[in-house]
Amino acid sequence: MGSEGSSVVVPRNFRLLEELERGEKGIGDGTVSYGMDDADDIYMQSWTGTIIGPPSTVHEGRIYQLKLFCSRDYPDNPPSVRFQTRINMTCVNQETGVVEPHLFPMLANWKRERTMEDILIQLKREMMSPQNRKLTQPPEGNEESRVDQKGLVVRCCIV
Amino acid sequence: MKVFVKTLKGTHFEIEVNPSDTLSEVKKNIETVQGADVYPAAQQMLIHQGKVLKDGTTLEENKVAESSFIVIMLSKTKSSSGEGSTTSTAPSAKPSATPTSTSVSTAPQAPASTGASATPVTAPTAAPAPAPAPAAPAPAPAPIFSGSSVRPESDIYGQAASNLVAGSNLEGTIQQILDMGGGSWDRDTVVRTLRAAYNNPERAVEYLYSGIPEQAEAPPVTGVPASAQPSNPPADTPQAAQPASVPSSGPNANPLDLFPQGLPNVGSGAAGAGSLDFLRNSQQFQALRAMVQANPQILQPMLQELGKQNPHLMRLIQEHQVDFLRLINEPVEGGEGNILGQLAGAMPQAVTVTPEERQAIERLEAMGFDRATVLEVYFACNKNEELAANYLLDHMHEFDE
Repeated sequence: MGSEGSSVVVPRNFRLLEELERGEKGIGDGTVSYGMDDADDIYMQSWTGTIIGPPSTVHEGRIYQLKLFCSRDYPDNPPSVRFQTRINMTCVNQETGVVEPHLFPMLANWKRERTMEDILIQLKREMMSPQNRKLTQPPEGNEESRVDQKGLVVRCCIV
Repeated sequence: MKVFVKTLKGTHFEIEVNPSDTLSEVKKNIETVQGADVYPAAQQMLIHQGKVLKDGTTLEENKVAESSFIVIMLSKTKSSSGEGSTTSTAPSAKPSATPTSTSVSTAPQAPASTGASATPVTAPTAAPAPAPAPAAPAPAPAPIFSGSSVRPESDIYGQAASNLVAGSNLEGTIQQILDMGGGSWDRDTVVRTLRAAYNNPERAVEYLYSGIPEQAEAPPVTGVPASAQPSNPPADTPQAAQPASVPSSGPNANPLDLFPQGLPNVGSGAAGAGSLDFLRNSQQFQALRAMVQANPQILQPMLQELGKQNPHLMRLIQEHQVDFLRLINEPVEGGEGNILGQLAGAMPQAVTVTPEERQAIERLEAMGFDRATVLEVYFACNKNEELAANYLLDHMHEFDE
């Protein structure tokens, strides 16, 4: 749909509520799912996402947990995406797990119509790309401690 | 509430859960519905709104609402190194390259071929990785009731004490009643009701259920000091002194009791059996009989005293010695041969006394003497209040001993 022809701008809260509703309904094949971190957050900034590793790749059978942070200017600007689970990908920083915008085209060329679900789906497609499907992955099942943007220590454990 | 569970193959099913269920219970529920071979509970991983649900939490804590979606997948649970994981996945990548190229050429059939290729890869990885079942918690050892071990010991002492006082039959009865009550009655209550019921077990149980009647409450109160005397060695002296005081009452009571009847008896000396019948109804003779049955040794001295006071009666007794002994050996009313027997024998008399006689007994009690002594002396003096009062005052020191 051409965005140039549309003059209606959806407010931030309405947009986030719509995405929250889609996340709760579970539309899609189920390989990606997302939801709010804290249901009491009235600004709806902190979100949690999950990507199930696609088959026929080294990521098969793994569950990757991510943190998405939607600032006040979302959806005009893209959210910041960070992997909580250790992963070896070309567009992900090995130390921090942050998805680098300059290496991930969807974040670099952000458009207002994109959603967090689209980001997760695109990341899954990136896992199936030729350069990422055979990369050696870190050992699975390790407890890892990361500091998110609120300063809290979040432990992600996949048994 | 109902929850939809979506699988990676695109299908979904419903399960019935409660908000308070833990994730472990939900996984067992899914295992029950779908089968242990398809989705073993140990390998299930449930994802809801981007969060991996942990076994220890409940659905309510994870904000799983009605008709919400949960994604399920199986984990490999391999503890091998990454190299092993790479080696195991690398061979599967190569043969799957051909189906991938085939799916590229035929775009409409891509999802079907992708699903078909996923199935054989998932199945073998699930089979060789069964997770060990969690160890069942050890059952708590049964607590040792030390109170129960102490209680039998105290019962043994109680049994020994009871045997000294009342004998084994009474002890058996008390134990049966205690067992019948199941611990609702204590020993003292059972003993008290048995005394009130004159050691009749049926009446004692009835008293335990409905309470001791007012008339029956008096005997246990008076019986307690009487039962204490036999078990106390110093009490033997008052017991010995008390029989000694009765023979002296014989001479005083006998003239009033026997003299009016002595004259017609002398005239009809031939009828021996008939002449001894008046002794059966005599209050003095009943007291004498109770005393002799309690202590047979005092029979001879009492007969000597009787011979001095009333030679005619003595001669009559000697002529019909067999009848006299039979009268002496007749059982006293109430059954007990102890001091309690005397009280039991006195109790029927109290029941039949007239209001005037009851008032006389109460007046004698008001003089400071206990009821048992008053009853004994009053009936020994043939219900003569004035004579009984004089006798109580003359022998006050003997009763105090």
